[in-house]
Amino acid sequence: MQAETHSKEREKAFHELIARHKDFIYNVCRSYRFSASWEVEDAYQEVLCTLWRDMDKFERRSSERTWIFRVARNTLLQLKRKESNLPQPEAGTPAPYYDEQTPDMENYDFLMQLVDNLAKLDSQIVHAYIEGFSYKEIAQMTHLTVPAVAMRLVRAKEQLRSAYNKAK
Amino acid sequence: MEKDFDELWNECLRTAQKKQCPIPDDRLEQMIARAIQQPQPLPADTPASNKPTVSLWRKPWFRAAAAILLLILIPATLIHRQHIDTATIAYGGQSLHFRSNTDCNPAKVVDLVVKYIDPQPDQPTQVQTATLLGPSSSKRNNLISFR
Repeated sequence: MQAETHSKEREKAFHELIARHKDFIYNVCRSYRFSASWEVEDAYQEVLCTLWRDMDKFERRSSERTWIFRVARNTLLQLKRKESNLPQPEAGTPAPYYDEQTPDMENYDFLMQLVDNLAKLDSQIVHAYIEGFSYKEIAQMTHLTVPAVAMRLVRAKEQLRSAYNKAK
Repeated sequence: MEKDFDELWNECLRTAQKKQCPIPDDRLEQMIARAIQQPQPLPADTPASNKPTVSLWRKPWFRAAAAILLLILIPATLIHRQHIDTATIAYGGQSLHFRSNTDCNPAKVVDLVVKYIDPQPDQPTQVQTATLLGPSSSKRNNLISFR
């Protein structure tokens, strides 16, 4: 009986968590899913499964958004590793995304592709910055100091600028 | 791609911030239900007696220990068996090799040596000794006395 109550409470808490952050979770999934091999919805489902499984491990030392970002990122990186073994679609194949591919989204996808080529930590910092995290939150997430985050972001942006200019 | 990088950067920041989840609510509910259907982890305060037990054989450390033990025992048994039917006797400055069809114990070796060295058992023979050199360290250097 006690286990059943615990289960129902946990389910309710999970529903509320997803309701609060569903847009944010989608944004994170979208930012990693520019390849046409995986649909964003599949990635979203995987992230939901991981969040449900790890919900009890959230110790509230960081904000919910920070925790979700960290969990989602790890899940999506694992998916990307599996994706690299799948046959890639032909160049020019439009991505089967849920939302429409506007020119804004194409530019966004292109930038995300460049971000993915950065070193792992820099990629994480840029992703978090684009998702609207503050320097303080990013520092907490990455176990760096705020000045270190700022410096890395500046350097990463210069690398992206250089890569973008080469690609033009 | 003709945009300046800074323009692209700022545009992408705006795009990222305004994106809303386009997945319809009913579809999202289905996805949440699917996630919840996964096996639940046990609460942290679950007593050990209530946790599902795992067979010893499924534990990696047990399998590794069993494999190591077998790797040691099987060759040891084979090695022991390999030399069990031979013996080498040092006698009169020579090495005499004997092979027996049965386990090589000193008594049987003595029989063999006697039959070899003293083919005429009805005649008295001087007491002679020989050193049993093999097969195993436990039988090495045993002095055998015979008539």
